Amino acid sequence: MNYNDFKDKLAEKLDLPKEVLINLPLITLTGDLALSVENFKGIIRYEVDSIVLNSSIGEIEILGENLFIKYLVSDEVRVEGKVKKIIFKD
Amino acid sequence: MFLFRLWNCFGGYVIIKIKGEYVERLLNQASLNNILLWDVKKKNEQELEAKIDVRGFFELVKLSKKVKCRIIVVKKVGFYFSILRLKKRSLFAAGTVIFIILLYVLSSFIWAVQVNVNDDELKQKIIKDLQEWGIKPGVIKYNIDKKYVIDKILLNYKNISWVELYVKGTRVVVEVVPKEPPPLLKDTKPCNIVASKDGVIEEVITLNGEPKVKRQDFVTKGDILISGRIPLGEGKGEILVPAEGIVKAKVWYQRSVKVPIVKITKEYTGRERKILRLKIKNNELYIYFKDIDFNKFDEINLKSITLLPKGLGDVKGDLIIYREYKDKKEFIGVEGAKEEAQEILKQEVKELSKNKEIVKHNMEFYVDNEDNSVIGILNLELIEDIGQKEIIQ
Repeated sequence: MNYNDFKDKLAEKLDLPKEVLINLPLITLTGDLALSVENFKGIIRYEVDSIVLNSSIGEIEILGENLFIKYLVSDEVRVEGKVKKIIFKD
Repeated sequence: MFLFRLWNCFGGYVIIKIKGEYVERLLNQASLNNILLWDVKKKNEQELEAKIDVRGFFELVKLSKKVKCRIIVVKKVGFYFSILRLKKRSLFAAGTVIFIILLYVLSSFIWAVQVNVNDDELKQKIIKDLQEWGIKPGVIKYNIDKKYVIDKILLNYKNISWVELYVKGTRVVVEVVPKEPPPLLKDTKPCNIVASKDGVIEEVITLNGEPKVKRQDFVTKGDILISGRIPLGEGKGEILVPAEGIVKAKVWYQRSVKVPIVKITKEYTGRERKILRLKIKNNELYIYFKDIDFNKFDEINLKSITLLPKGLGDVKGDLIIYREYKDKKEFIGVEGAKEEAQEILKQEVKELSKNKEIVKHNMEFYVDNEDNSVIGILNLELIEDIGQKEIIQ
């Protein structure tokens, strides 16, 4: 049993939020208008129709129209615009 | 989000353009260094537009040198920058501050005292007393001791039932409700009824006391008409009562009037001049807007304004209109003058015979050749109550 599996089980047993314990990104979608990602690790690419973010589980690509970054702080980014696809790449 | 915007309004933020080969790197650096960026928009391949607060901006400039990006300031927004701009226009800023201070200082003085009461005499009295007690134009409104003044008014005026004092802007308003005077008690002091005028008695109605006159008697002013002393018979003395009654008598009046044959009336030429009169303590200063070349004119006061209250120099301004007129001579002739004299005398009759009975009246007119005028003489005979109470000492 490695360390991450242990934490996964611990989170399940104690009913704790997993993103805190295992350091997963928390993605919140508001319809298709806004998307906020907590626990992200940086922006790889930023275009009007696609944004690629880096996170602990790999790259997250957001495809859409007229995307822009509403705000950007150390561990959270909020993207607004019309979201069409979210693709996870390992 | 609203609070965040409000904070930025005060703190100030900058709209910047970031130009460079790989602008995402700068964004990553910024987020690593805990610099807040918002409304980040991609303009084209090598250009980003973003908003950043003032402190973050300087840190971002340092970072931009590392990642080889250029930062261009597009616009400075917020209160912080407004103050910076004001620093350059120091006189304007000083003016604003002086204006606010002046407004505050001037509005902390009392400029007018207003007493709300129906009785005009009482009003003047209260205003005068308030001045003595320190409520007058020119005093500082925060120093007014409301309770003290209200107590003072209530103590000094026995016929006031309620007083309220409040400051409304730069005005002190004193609301006063006077007491209704109690109903007059019938005079119980013994008194006589005496004649107030000369006349011939027509009728005597005695309600109390002993009548001393009868019909057709001629009385002069001061004669006792109804006596308050009632003798009880020989050797038994007398009792004193308040005499009461109605004594009607014929009274004569004579009035005369003189009307010149040539009538002089004022005719306004329509030319007017407005002038401003400044009263500084006891000195008057006239400000003319145009030259005045009137021979005869009337002065009409349009408006009086207090420019500075008494404590602060006492300056008053009056707006005055001068209206020019010319004397207009009109020949109305003997008949015209007579008619006018008659009109005046008729007016006189009306006034004299108010609530009284007219027995006889006739008018006579003479022409005065020396003065070129008509003299009208009125003889009027009235029946009226001539009784007047006089206390027996």
